[in-house]
Amino acid sequence: MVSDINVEFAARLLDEIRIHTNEMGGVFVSLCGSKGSGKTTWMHQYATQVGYIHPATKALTKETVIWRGRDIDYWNWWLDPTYEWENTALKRDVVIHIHSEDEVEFRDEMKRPVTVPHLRKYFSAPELYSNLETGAINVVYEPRDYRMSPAVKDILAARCCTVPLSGNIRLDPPIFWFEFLAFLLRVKGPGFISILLDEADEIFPQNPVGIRWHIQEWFKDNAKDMRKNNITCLFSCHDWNDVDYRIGSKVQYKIWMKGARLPNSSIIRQLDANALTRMLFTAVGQAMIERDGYGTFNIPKLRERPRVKAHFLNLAGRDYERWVPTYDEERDRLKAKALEKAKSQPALTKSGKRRGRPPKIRDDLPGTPGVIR
Amino acid sequence: MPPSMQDEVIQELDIPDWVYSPLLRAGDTVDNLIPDTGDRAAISTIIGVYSYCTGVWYMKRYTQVLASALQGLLVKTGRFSPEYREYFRRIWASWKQARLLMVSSEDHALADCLFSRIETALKLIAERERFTKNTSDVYSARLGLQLQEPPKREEDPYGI
Repeated sequence: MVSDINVEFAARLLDEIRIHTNEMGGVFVSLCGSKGSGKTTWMHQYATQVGYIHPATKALTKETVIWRGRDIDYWNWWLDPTYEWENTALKRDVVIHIHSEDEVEFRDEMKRPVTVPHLRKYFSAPELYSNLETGAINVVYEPRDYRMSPAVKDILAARCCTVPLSGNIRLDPPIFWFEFLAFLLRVKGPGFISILLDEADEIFPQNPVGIRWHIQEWFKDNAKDMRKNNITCLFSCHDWNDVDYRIGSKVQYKIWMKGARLPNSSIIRQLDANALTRMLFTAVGQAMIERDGYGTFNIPKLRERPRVKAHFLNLAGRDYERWVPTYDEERDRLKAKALEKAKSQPALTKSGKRRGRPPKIRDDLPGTPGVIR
Repeated sequence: MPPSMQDEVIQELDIPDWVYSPLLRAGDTVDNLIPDTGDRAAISTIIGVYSYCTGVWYMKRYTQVLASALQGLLVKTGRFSPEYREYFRRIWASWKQARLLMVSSEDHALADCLFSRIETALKLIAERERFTKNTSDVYSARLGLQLQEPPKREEDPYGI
């Protein structure tokens, strides 16, 4: 019957993306769903479940997880003693990595400070790599003031046939992930790493321009090398069209949640004529996974907890003084506003009266007679 | 009517009584014949998929496939009682009327009404026999395994 196959497919495909072997290598997974569909909840669960078969011990071993840290995040839930771990053997340490030039204060949404048990600082991709804790969940915050390293400039120069950047230009922080992946591909050992990228449209936007186009092209060309190097990449987005189509074409496993719009390439869309309607009415916490078939699975509900907020004190952050304009700035702003208003007014006549239609006096409305409307 | 002419006249397929009884294999009893999760999810899928389809042609196919699936499950579970046989005979008669009404596009609305009534009749059977699944029956995505701690990074030749 249909659903027996459905359950079998769901179980098999999920096991393929969370239990890794040397034969299969890493996997490339996408997770699409509208806001509140349960994407981050499932990524939370996935980060605790992912493992690999160790070649020497043949045991199912915890895989090293890299979690992309965001300004508002959920990693503090793992630190809660009441967190719903599936079993005690899946418990992992959480290590926070921030750039050495950044000063970060972690507080939850109730403004209570969040105690970070393990905090490590990195300056470069090599240092981040050496600081990674194997078998743990490594939450990595991109450097707020990201400058591309010479090695990445050389890679891009070879692709672009020109020198892409000169000098020390500040770039969009998510570009750091490409630098880190480029380094990882070159130095990494045979072990398994899973990289979980939430809100991937910030990293692989649909319409990149300039150097970003070449960076994403590089990523697309190296996606298969990442899999062969036992690097798993799982990214989430709200809509399939938010992400660069070149990278979307490299995705092996697609997971769809409530509100996802299935592209034409989706097997579910090809096999099920009512797939689009069904996705709209899929329950929150239910997902469909597809590769060479598709299946449905439930995501366990996690108790809602306050999220953690990262305040970068080296930027404007919570430094209130930086949010107040200086006197000179304010005066110039007001002056510019007055000049603009004066330009929009009709010109004065020689007698000093304003040109244009006089204001209409309405005395048919309640209130003071002669009020100008 | 002579036997030679009987094959030329349009006749409805007559399903013999023995087909409505489940075939018991060695070790089977009537009490063991319960619908498995696959059967139940299939019925739920049929209901779910067609629920969002509009149009009399979809309703025709929906009621047809749901009726046949439910009858199959009732036979499989040994619950196809004489009352159900009479019930499905009446459903079939109504379905035939609705289908014949569809010949004229002016009668599509009336046919749609008949199909809706048939749909309700079939859903009542599905629910009373507990042939449908709910969310808790879907695969739970639990790992069900235990993970070992990895060896120390500096000691592991297979590390990252």
